[in-house]
Amino acid sequence: MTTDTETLGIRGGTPIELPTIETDDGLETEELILNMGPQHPSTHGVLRLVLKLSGEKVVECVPVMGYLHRGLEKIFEWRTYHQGIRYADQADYVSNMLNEHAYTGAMEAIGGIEVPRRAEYLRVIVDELSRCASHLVWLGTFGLDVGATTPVLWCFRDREEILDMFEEICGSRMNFNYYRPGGLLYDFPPGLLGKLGRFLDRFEKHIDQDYVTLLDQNEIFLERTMGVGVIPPDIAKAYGVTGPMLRGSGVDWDLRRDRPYSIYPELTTVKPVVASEGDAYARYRVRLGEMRLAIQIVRECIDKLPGGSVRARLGHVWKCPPGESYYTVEGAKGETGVYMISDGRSPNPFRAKYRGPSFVNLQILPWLLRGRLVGDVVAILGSIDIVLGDVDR
Amino acid sequence: MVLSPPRSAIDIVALAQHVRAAVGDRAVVSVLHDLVVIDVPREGLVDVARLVRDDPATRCDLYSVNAGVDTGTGEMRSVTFVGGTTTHAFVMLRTSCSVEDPHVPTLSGVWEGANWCERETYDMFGIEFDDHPDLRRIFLEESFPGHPLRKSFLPPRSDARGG
Repeated sequence: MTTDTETLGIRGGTPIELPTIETDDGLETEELILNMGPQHPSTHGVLRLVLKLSGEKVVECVPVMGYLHRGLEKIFEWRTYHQGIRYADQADYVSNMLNEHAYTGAMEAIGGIEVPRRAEYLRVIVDELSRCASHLVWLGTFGLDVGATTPVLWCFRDREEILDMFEEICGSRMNFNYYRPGGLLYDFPPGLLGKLGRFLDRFEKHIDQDYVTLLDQNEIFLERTMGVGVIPPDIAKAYGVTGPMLRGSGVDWDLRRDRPYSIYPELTTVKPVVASEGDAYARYRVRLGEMRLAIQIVRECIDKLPGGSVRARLGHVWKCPPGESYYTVEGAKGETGVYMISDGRSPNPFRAKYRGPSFVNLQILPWLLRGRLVGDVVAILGSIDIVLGDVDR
Repeated sequence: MVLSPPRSAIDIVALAQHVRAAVGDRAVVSVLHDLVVIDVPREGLVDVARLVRDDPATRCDLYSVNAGVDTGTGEMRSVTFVGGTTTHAFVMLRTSCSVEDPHVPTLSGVWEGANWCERETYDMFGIEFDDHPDLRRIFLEESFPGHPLRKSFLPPRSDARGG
């Protein structure tokens, strides 16, 4: 086995030596280097993990990223403000509406644009549906990771209905391009709210009956998630972990309540779901609870939905005034933020930084895997919920 | 109508006053929407960061992100966002360096999460974070020429510039 970094392909990394280690039973083992990905189905995209193993234990894990790097932030600088919305879609491609909200919100914060109330309510509805769509993808693929193959089919049945409704709303199933500075592109089509209400009833039943039965009563699932990948709260905070992972570690932190945006302060149903164990099972419970919470929030929004226009009048040519802002939304995976700077002259943003929650959450992986069994790698990585478009941008 | 900029849940002006008194003449403190903005020269960055983390009024324990900025005038900035989960204080730490001498101190000793975020800024802007434990490129290969998010770096015509 060669030891030079060229062969391992860790770009610019320090050379990995291969010391011999004494195991408990006195047998000498040599450290083994295992290459996982970038085409491994359990890495959820093109992530590559270089694992240093000693027997069944992981000694060190070096994630290698960048296979999906598209230069998103450079593209923002070379596109107008409006064109950038469509590129923000691509960052986390399973919860697109939330990315658009962060990008549009940063623009509106600089411009001081007021958004009609109806538009904000509709925004919250599509945000929460987008969150459900993202959690459903996670639930299905996490089931696959730990050996349950049925949930993915059932989850995609519900996700399919959400995407069908998004198609009716904005004409697209994936890159929606629905947000605009000062509101939304269109109002909901007639009849959609009734359809949405009926879907929510079905969806709620599916969560409480199907998913809970399939996973919570599955011995293998419980064995593989309980007590696996425990993150203590202070470690989670120091690593910048946000979203369901942070709440799964017992930290009651949700930007919808703690850095309020849009009309979330007016809603009575926004009660963050928190679990204190910090393991993969706690994260599963938090995400399941967030889907139930999303149903409540959407129902409240439908009840309170005001009338009126969905887009503020900004004139034919809207020019962003000079200034800067950092706007965050509680994304499906954590804090989705956009730091935007406008110089007031150019039609393009001077600088737009997109904070991908998956990227920052993934950072804790080497810490989590140190000393764990190699069989837990897939379960721990799966419980983080990464999307490589969001990691690499 | 709903006004968009994030609204602070706490008295942001009083908090800024408190931070201004605490940092003294080491930094300039201002307010942007619901953020306390601290402009600090790079020599004092780590001290002020520790203060923001440990002061009971801010207690910023949650690291958010680091963003590089190339102003196009020979000045480059490293902007760090942090938040306090108990105090609801959001702080933006801004420091700057020149293109000729692109060095700022790392904050990975203060917040563990700064590690990868600063590596990304190094990769994209070429800002070198002194004393960083693992400063190498994170997305691009080591042989990539230049740092793509600098204003002097022009993308190929057909690509990001849109034909």
